[in-house]
Amino acid sequence: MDLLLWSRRLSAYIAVYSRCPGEEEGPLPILAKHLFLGLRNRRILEQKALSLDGAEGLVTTLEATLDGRPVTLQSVVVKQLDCLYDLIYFAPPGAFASGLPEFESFLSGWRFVPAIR
Amino acid sequence: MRGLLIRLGDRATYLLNYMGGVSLLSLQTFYYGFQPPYSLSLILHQVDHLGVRSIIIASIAAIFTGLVLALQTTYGLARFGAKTYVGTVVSLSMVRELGPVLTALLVGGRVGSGITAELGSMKVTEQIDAMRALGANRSRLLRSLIRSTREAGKEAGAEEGMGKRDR
Repeated sequence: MDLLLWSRRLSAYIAVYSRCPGEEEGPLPILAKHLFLGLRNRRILEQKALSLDGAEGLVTTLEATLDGRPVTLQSVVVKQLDCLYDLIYFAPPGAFASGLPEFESFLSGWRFVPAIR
Repeated sequence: MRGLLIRLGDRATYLLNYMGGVSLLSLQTFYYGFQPPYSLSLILHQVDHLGVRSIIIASIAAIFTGLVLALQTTYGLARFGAKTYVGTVVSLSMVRELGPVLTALLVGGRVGSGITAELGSMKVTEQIDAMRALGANRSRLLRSLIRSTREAGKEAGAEEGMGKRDR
């Protein structure tokens, strides 16, 4: 995990996970599907393409349960050069909408910078 | 004498390593066998592949074994004028005893060799390495992250509650 932001008030989290080179290959919907393996009662509320600092990404909003407890997530899976990024926002269903603008703001401020060799 | 002891020690170590490996494999098989996600289509595919397609070979073995058993029993019982009991003896012995044993041996052998051959070809063509690489590491990470944040949330909530009480 590269970054984890936490809202104590909402019990909501923003997490960033990246791998270079990406550990998985394949189209974005498949990569998104792999991310959610193991979550039960998955229900995709919305899935759409997204451009994140010019890179093609896929944003997925879904409801699911883990260990019998509900969780709502929004993930953005992005491939940029040979790296794979997962930007994930998750919160209890009741608090999800309240923290979503923060995540959208986080996404809008996202920039890829050239690797420092 | 020392050489013998060393060889014995090596053998014992090898045996323990082997048994440990087999035990770990068995544990992992049970553990991951019950881990989600469960794919109904894959389960049905395996039921068809391992079970339904073994019916023919099990049936052929049962038919021929039954034929031979009936023939030999007839010879044996004819001496005592008990040919009428051939059907009962053969059907009972086949259904209750030989049938399950033969089916288990044949299906076990067929299925075991089939799975081993498939795994062997997957290993050679690096499919197993690819699956490990795919290995749903990201999903596992996400699940463990959600779980750990829940735990952290509980602890933080408890600390907060204690803080309020202290105040």
